[in-house]
Amino acid sequence: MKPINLTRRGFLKRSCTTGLGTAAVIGGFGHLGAASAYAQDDYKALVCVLLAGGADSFNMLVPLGDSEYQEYATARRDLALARNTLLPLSGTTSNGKTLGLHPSMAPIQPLYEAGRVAFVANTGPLVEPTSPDTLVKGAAKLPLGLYSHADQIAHWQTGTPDARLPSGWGGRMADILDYTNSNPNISMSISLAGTNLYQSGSFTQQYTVSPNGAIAQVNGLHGDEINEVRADAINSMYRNNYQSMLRRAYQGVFNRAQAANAQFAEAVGGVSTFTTAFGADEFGQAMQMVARTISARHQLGMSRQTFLVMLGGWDHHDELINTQAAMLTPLSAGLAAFHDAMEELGVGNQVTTFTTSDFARTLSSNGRGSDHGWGGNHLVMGGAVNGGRVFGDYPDLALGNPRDTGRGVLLPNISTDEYFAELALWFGIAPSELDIVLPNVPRFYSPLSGQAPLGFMS
Amino acid sequence: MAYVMKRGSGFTGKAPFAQRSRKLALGIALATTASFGGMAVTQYAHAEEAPEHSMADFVRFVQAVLAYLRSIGVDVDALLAEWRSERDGGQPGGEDPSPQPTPESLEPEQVAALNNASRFLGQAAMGGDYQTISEVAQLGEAAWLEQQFATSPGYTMPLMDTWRERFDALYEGEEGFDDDEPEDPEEDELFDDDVDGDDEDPGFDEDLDEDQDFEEDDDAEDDEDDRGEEDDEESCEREDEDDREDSSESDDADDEDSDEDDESDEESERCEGDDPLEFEDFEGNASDYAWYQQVVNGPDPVRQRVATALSEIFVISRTAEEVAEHSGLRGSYYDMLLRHSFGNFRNLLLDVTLHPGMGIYLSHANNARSNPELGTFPDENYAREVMQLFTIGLYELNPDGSYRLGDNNAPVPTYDNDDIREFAKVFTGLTFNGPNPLFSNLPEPESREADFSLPMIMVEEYHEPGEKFLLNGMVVPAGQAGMQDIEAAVDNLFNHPNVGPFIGRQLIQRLVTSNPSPEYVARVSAAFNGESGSPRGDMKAVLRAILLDEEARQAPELNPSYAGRLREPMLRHIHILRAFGATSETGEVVGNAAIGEAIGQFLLSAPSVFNFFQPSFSPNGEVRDAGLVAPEFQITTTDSIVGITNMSDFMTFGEEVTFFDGGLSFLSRSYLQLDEEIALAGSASALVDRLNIVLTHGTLRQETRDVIIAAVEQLEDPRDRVYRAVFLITISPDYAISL
Repeated sequence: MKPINLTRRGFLKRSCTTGLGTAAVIGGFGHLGAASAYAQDDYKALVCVLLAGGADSFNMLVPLGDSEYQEYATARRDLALARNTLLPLSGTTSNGKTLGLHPSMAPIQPLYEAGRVAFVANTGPLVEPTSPDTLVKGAAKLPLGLYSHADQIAHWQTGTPDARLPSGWGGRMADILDYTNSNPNISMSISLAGTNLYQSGSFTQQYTVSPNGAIAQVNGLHGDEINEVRADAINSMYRNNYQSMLRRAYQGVFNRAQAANAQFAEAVGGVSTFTTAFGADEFGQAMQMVARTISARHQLGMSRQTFLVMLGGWDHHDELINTQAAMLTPLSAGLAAFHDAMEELGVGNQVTTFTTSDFARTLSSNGRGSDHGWGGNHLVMGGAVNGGRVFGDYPDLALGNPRDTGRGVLLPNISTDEYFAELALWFGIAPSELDIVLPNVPRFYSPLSGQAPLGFMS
Repeated sequence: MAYVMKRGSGFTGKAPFAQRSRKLALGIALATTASFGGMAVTQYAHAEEAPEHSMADFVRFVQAVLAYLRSIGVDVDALLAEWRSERDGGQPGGEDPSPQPTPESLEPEQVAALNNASRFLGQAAMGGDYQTISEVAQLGEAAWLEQQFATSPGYTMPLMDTWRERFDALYEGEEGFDDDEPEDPEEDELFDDDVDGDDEDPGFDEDLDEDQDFEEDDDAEDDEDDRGEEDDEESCEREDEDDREDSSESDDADDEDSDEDDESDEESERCEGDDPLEFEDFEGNASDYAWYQQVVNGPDPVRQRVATALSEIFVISRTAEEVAEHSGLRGSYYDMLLRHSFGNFRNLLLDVTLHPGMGIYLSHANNARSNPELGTFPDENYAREVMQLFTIGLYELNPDGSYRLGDNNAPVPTYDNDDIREFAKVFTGLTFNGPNPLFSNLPEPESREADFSLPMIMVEEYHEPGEKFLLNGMVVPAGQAGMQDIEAAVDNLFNHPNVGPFIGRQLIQRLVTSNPSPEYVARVSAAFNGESGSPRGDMKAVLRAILLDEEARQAPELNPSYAGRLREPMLRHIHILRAFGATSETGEVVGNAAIGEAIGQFLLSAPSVFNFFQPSFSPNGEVRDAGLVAPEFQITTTDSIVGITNMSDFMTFGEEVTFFDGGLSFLSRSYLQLDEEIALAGSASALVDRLNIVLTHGTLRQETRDVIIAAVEQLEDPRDRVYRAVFLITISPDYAISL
């Protein structure tokens, strides 16, 4: 693995942070956010939606052409959606196919037609460019733990399916870009999905809020009477001037947690409400929390932010048809509401949302659902997206076709490296730094070529 | 990081786990949204949007009920006092234990000896209670360590089997409860009988078989169960009530106000064995339950501590799905580490290499020889990590751990990519043992019936033939058996001069201090290298050198300002449980990975092979500026530090203390034994001074001590006083950093 080459800027940023951080802890914080290296209108956010469990995305994006639909229906049997229920998308794919959306994704259809949503077809983790031919011959290097949830989620988060790295590509972007933010307390990497690999950097850590926006705070009462005594005792201990350097360091983390949580709650709690209505479901609430945080970007001193939102429960080994439909409804509604809220905030072109998932699923049915697959279809949304198009060849779905590795588990056409590279470049990673974020990217794409990896971002 | 998948419980199919996790998360969330008195914490404005998270509402509700009861003449305070006296395990006579000597009555030398013993136990054994501390103080650290070396391992797999039998009995019907024997503390002695302490056997199957034998001799099976069937039936009828209790906060209020409800809750859990999901939950998590019982109550805390440290060097993790799903794989791996903790590093390295858990995690299971026709080459994953992380590291080291400098004063790499390719050839041909061994790298484990408790076996046809060029000029000749190649490679790495300083320094960091002096590292390297007369790689010699070194034993105040280490979050939990003799109705202390979500760490759950934290990690600020490291800070985030702090709060609330949350029906809730501390609580200073010995080995800063004593003196109830003192000490920076 290439050593992360961040020392210079990383060090500058850290020195700055240390100074501010100390001041903030001792003197309270009030005037942050004034010294951003970027102008305020340079703001960009990248929102990753993790469909945990492996979404059956060949039922989200379905071929409509006569022969292609027939192949689809033959492969999927009881899992096939009726052709007349699919929501047609205009245009054809690069390999000449017309596609339709799952009927429960109705809110996405107009966004696609308006050029705000694009799809990337049959993408997944690859170690190196892999053709059906090399796969058949057993000559291909394959991702670790192929078809396993935990491993493949890690691949989507680290961007290195051939190595168990301790950092993720979102975290490595933050390592590079964090200096653009002026807040010493709160990371630019904000997770609504707990501590995660995607946003783990070498120098930067993620800031976690619960999906509904509750912020971790130290317990104040239990058993005892409601008391200020205990709280005062904690405050006193954490103001002690310790002789031990490590005790001082621990004190610092604790005080930063208190400061960050208070500051975050105040900033996000103070933003005005949206006209756009979000659903009361878990995903809708999480996306609303992301929207509120973006709305508070100036108060928080942020010019670059990544968000991770997770919606679990896509492992449809059974009850695929009903459950997937029931889950796509809030997913689509939450995405559309978020899109509208970003327009309302005037940052529609500065916020890009994209989906990830462990894998797509077998095309063939197990009688009730589908099993773990590999390549799948993904959605990218935002004003900066070259929407209304499907990028990448939509694969043949006939069982036994060259890309079928068995039971309709499809070898990806496009590596996640290419998918992520497009997003990282848009986010502000320089081509020369792309291999810090995505160490394997040169195997798939030449960052200095001047060409876009896939072209879905404008 | 390992836990993000578990939170997406939709695909794990492990409802009980997910429920418990959610319940824990809810509990944490409950408290996190609670108002926080004088702390300058602004309540998040939208907490009311999630009414199930509003602790403030709950508290207001309880207060309203109490006010009403008082208004109609109920003596609420008497009821509360009664409840207090019986909660936390409801130990009768808990308010009147025999008086204990208070620190005030001790001579300064006695206190110093106790503090030294307490500190030693914190380094060598995840801590101990006052009695154990006294024993070590009396016996002396070195002698006690030798006793521990002679103590047989408390393996987790036999415990898992015992519990599985109890579990099966639940399924077989009511008579099964007769076997549902609460564990006696004496059970631990059973582990002593059957183990020869032989660390030399390179395979790990035989030892395991041997350990499993003890169950057949287990006369405990004949014992009568003191809980009758009638109770079980009765409680089953009340199941609905209890379910309701679980799903509703306001019912938790009932739970607090009435010990009767507590009982019914416990009884009802026995009926939950009917849920088939429980079985999956048990099979997925049993090794975690067993680990808790052994580290908290086992007779061999030093061995458990060392094995846990080794699990953070030879990392496998449940971020790999098969490791997550098969607790037997984790239990077998941990037991293998236990077996070698006092053995020889060479045999440890061999068994790590051959363990299916490692084979899965670093993908050298079913790693095939190169195939020129297909253009394929062996997987290099294990070859790389066994050198970089498990034995020699990236650069050549002096015995004191510093880089040996070569040309231009540059560090000298220990290996290059060619070396990795050569070692990759060695680690080919291994597959899982079992009734139907099948060499295949396709993910279809069900067809191969792998037995994950057995070392991997060599399938010669898939082993790379030909010579292999190892390090330092060693050549493995062509034509050897595959296993001979592996032994040769293990010997080659084992004999590399880097191993002593590389592994020794990490063990010092785990057990004693983040920043050992070069001289300290050199003394440990010398022990590893056999300079103290023991064979090279002798773990006992290494551990003596680490734990009895003057740098570990000298009084902490003589150390410079950077001394000590940050306690690992999961070891904090164990340390507090051990400090107060945690136990349960059955004598078993069972915990699970749910706690990891809150505190950011759990056994065998690191985010990657680079462990939870790296030996060289240094937090921003003066520690880094001073050129020092503090690895554990890598997982101490603004998020996890809140969970870590709240863990202490939950442990001092009178509820169960392992966050097992009821868990499985045949395992019971754990509580702390605080009688001795309660007896001291009349004097806040005596109480805090005692806790200062047990928890912080006398390193509580004077200001901290004063603050805590003042806060404790605000309370009347002795148990509340103890809870507050334990809470405040265990969340203090003084406790966090063990000097």
